[in-house]
Amino acid sequence: MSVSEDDTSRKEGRAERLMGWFDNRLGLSHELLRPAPRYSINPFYWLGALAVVAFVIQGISGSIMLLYYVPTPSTAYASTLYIFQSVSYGQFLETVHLYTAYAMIMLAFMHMMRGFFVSVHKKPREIMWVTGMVMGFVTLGFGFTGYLLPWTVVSYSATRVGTAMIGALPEPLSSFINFLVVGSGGDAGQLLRFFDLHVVVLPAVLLVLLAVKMYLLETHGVSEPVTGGTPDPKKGGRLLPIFPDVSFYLLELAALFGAAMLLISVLFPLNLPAAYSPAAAGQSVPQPDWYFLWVYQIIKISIFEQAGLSAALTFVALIFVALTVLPFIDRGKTRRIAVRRWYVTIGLVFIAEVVVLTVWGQKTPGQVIPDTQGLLVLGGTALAVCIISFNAYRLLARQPTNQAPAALHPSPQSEASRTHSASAWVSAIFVGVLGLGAFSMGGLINSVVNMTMFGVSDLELVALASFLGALAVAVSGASFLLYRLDLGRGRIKRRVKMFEVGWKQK
Amino acid sequence: MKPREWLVYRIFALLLFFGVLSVIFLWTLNPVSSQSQTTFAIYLSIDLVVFAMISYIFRVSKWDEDVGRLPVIAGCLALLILLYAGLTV
Repeated sequence: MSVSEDDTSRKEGRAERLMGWFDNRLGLSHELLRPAPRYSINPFYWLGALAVVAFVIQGISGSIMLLYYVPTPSTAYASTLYIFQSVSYGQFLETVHLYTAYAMIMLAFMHMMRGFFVSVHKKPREIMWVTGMVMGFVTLGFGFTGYLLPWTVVSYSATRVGTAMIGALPEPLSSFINFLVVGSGGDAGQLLRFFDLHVVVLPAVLLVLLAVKMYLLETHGVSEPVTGGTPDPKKGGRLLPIFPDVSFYLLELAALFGAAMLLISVLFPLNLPAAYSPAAAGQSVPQPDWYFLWVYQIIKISIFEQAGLSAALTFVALIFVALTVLPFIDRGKTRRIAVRRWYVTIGLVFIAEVVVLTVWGQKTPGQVIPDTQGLLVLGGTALAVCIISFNAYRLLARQPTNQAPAALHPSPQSEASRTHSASAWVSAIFVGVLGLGAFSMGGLINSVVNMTMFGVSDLELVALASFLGALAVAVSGASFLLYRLDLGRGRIKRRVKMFEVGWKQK
Repeated sequence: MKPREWLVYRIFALLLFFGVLSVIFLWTLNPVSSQSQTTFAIYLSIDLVVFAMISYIFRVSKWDEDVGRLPVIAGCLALLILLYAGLTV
């Protein structure tokens, strides 16, 4: 073979590999409407589909509201009030629109975290993950832009806080978002911009991204079970046609979700806050809606006030960036939760911190958080979750082999079943004990902080004693369980008689 | 026909009846009254739950799997509660 022929074939090889890379990820040569496996008939596989259902409900309710809403500072509140008071089922419509928006954000978050834990971002679904993350940002954008539209004192003040935070973001992100959402047209210009983004730009972007994600889902199919291996084609691996089988299942989920949304809207109807005016704004404490509260709570910690704001927002932006490019950071091949203790623990810490910050933010509106308190609460939460997670891993990893010599002549099947059952029970008790430990540790930190800040009271002393007692019970319970497990395996070096009550040597 | 299958068909017919009834009732509501917002939401929820149950029974029967007792009992219980709420609002 001559040199030029060799070069040509090498170039063709590269081109084929490149095309193969894209084909593997984009499914250019695959059939459409691929059937779904039986094991995917599980609500956890369709959290994203439910978020789409929420989007559709919002589209319908929002379109009706568009008939009456006028996006100018002088008419926005009046037209919202008109929908509330004079349009048939107007209050119900507004409530459904708001609650499905909340549900959409919650479902998107759950969908992301489920994907994180079962590592759906791994090859060949990298692009699918990135698309999903961008869809998540667009969903948050819906929340941010929609919050201002009623022009209430709460929404105006919270949006002002949000737009002020944009200025503290790192460049060029700050200028870009500022150009997109704030502009230079004053209140009227900003309201119009938010309205356009909310009803035209973001829905269009989301629909395009949805189409891309659906196409990629068609290409790769639903993710394989995290336990690995191919499921039995006669059982979980049995393929079901999209129509009518899987479609009917999705319609069931959508119907139940819709019913739940309707009932929640009726049980907890929305009450419109007061209209925005500079005087009213001066009396209200600006507070973002709950899905941004965790970010807001971080910047309320005193170290991040003023000059530190930029650092806090850069840190939050880095979390989002890290989540988006996760497929390119986490390049290991295994998806098994059982062997990924660090990865799973990081995910659990993230969820716990977001929940703690959100609840904490709700309880402390407008308060600056002292550094020590921030460190104690956030550090304590992370520590508690790490202890629970690592101990749960330790227990679950050892459990199956512990029970083997227990029975004298068990049949292999009954022994496996009994071991499995005992393993599940002991694991559940262990997680419960560690949960009690985390709860009591959090309560303990809270009591100490309260006593430091507001002085010692009888009530706080009782609370402190109760949490100390609960922590002692949790520590003793966890130690007992771990000791008995090690006892079963003959790994105990220093015997503790108290923990061997009722133990019979086999 | 097995007794279990017969039971499933009876539940199916009853659900269909409930669904049609709630749709008819929805059309009789006065959309201006604020109280009818609640009634509307409850009867629409009944309709959606009925649809979900009918779809579940159809789907599971088509897959030659057993219709689970728990989903059917939970669904019927939810329907009864919603019906009671709808009648007392």
